[in-house]
Amino acid sequence: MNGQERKIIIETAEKFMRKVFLPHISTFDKFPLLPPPFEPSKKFFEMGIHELVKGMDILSVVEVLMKVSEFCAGLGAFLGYMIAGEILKIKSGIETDGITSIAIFEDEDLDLENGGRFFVKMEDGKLRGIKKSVFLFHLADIFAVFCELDGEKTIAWIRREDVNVNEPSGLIGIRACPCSDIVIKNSVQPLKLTPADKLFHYSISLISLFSSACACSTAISAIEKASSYAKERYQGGSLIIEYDAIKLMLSHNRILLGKCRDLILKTAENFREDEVLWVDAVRTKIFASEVAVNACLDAIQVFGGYGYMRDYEVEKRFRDAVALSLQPFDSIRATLYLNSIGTK
Amino acid sequence: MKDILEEHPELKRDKLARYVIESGRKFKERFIVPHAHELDRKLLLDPHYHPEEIIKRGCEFRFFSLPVPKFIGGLGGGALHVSLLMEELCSGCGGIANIFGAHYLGLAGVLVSADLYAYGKFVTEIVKGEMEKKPIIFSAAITEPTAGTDVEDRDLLPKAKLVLSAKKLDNGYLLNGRKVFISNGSIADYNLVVCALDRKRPLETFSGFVVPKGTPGFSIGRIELKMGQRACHAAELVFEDCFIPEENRVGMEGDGMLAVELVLSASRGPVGAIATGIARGAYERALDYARNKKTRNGRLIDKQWVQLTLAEMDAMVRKARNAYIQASIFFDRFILNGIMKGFPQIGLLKRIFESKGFLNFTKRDFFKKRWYEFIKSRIDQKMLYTSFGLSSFAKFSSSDIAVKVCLMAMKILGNEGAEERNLVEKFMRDAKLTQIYEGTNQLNRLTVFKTLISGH
Repeated sequence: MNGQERKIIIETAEKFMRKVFLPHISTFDKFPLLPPPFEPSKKFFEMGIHELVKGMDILSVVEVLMKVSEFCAGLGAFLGYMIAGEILKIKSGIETDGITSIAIFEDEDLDLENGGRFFVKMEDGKLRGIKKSVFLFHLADIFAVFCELDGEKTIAWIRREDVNVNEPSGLIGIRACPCSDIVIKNSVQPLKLTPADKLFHYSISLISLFSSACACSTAISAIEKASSYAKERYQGGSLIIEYDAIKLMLSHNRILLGKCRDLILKTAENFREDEVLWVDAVRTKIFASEVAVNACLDAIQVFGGYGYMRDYEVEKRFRDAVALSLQPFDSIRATLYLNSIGTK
Repeated sequence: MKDILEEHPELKRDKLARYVIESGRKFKERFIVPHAHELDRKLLLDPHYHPEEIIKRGCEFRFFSLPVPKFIGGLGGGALHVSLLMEELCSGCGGIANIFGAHYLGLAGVLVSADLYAYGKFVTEIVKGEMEKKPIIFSAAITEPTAGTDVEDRDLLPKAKLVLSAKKLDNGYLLNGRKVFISNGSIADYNLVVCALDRKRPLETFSGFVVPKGTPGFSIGRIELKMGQRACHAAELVFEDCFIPEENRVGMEGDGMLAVELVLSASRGPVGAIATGIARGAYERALDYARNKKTRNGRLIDKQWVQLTLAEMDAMVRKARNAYIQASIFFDRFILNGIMKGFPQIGLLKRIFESKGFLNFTKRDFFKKRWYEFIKSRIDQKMLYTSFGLSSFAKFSSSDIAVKVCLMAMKILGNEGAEERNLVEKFMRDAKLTQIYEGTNQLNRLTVFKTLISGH
């Protein structure tokens, strides 16, 4: 996709967000306590997301995610997980319509510092077990379940009717992108099995990159909101933007977020089949998680009491950034994981 | 984490401290932990809901009269006892605990003023209410829509954009304007409202008033939907030609800022304790999770990175605790004791405080003036500013620690850390507020500079 085409799709994303999603963002934020106002995936497909997925243009995807996350990081995450599922389906040669949900995590720790291992196993051609923190479970037609087959990482592709879905988990943030545990019914025979040693690392890297993009963008928007507020709010007879404490908070975060944004776009531009480049995505995630969460904490601080209230939407950006900082894993596990895949 | 009594053996000698820790623990296990998650969800959809049944149970433990002096029937606790209780309750839920915390804040305003009329008229109600299992709740109304940090600092107050003022009449005051984000504001029986008589000279005219629930012209506006600590309402208080009789003025006209500083010296230590409790709650859940989470070669807690993280969290919680204990003990010893020694400790019975004659006598301005001058003479200004600095230090350091510890706890839980059912995310949301209320941490740092560094 060339620069002009990319610009058009980003503008379309912005228009869509303003027109279609903006009025519903506060309701999305109460999901899963409230039913979602409508199903976002269809709206995203109307936006032309298929073209991005087919073209495997990760840079454009990331830019769209950033635009969407300026408004609502939950919808950014929704779109990110949806696209990651589509890409995984294409890479695995699965030809079914509908949304794919990626099931990686389990009751047991995945032992990511040793490259990641699964307790859910394929035995005698059958799969059983529980997967945790599965996003888009409520819309998925097919689940990509990461498991172990004869000691090798494998994706077992299973149909919706082969899983029972638990109550939605209710996350601190990105609530527009609901998550739950799924219980794979006894003796499920998968539609297809795909070797996943590389695809596991690819998926982890892709989700890391997407979550970094959403977190960074929501943090940028939090800092911009804080900056506007600081130009209007008086304290002690002066605008608070004139106080060193506020200046330092805003400038420091702007510098870090600017670097973070550049890093994300550079990583996205280079994101190809090469394993070395996947590592960059995880590195970016480690940096972006910390920067975004701290920036949103500071943005709330600039707003003072108002920042803590849901009306001002800064607290939502903080909650979203925290939730994203833990997807697909936290920065400590991410760092240990990087070591396990041979980077120093 | 070791038990607080084991780490601070000096507390074992304090009977009330032991009682507070033990009863706080019981209350938390029986009434907070089983309801915290459900209550938090409920309040997301209905911010007006008040967990009355849970709060009522506080009467059995005499939580409401904890800081009320013994000579009027209370438990006679100080900032230390309030802090110890706050840590214990907050390790269960910062929101429920803060209903008690905000009550103590409002009550502190009355107690440190040493206003005998207010003691007899309002504070004795708390003790009576407890006996009848009907909690009498206080709140402190300081923040205004356009002045938050300003109203807590004597250098900023003169330039503050105040919207609430009290106009002096012959026999009282007429309040007009609004207060916002008032914890307990919507449920309090008595609100301690601080405002200026002359908005052009706020520092010289800042004064405190007790506004009882149901006073004509006083109403509750909006109840905010907060990110955390939802069980404790943050309400807007609206005053429209609200008449307050002269006797409801606490202390003297113009002594409002001194009262605010006294209150903050008393209460920022306990806010540090709130933050410590929240941090401890997150730490305990992370520890529990690490002990139970299986890995291929054992449990999560067997991993070195988890042990390092838990050790760091443990150390940080301990640092936060030490800071609030130091601040609270200092306040109790050098400020509260000074004020309370002004009262005859023996022979003055609770009944006298409730008698009409006593109330009629103590509400007179000439008495109030002399009495208050006497009480003020018992406050050592230097000690007050050291206490203010220590409590501000406890507040900002403990709340910063709380946010860090909660983030670390979330990392131990990994992506499950973001899930409501594990409660760590709730501690995270609750923790953030401790960096904001009772003055932002930036203001608290400046207070530390002014009081402990520059000798301002």
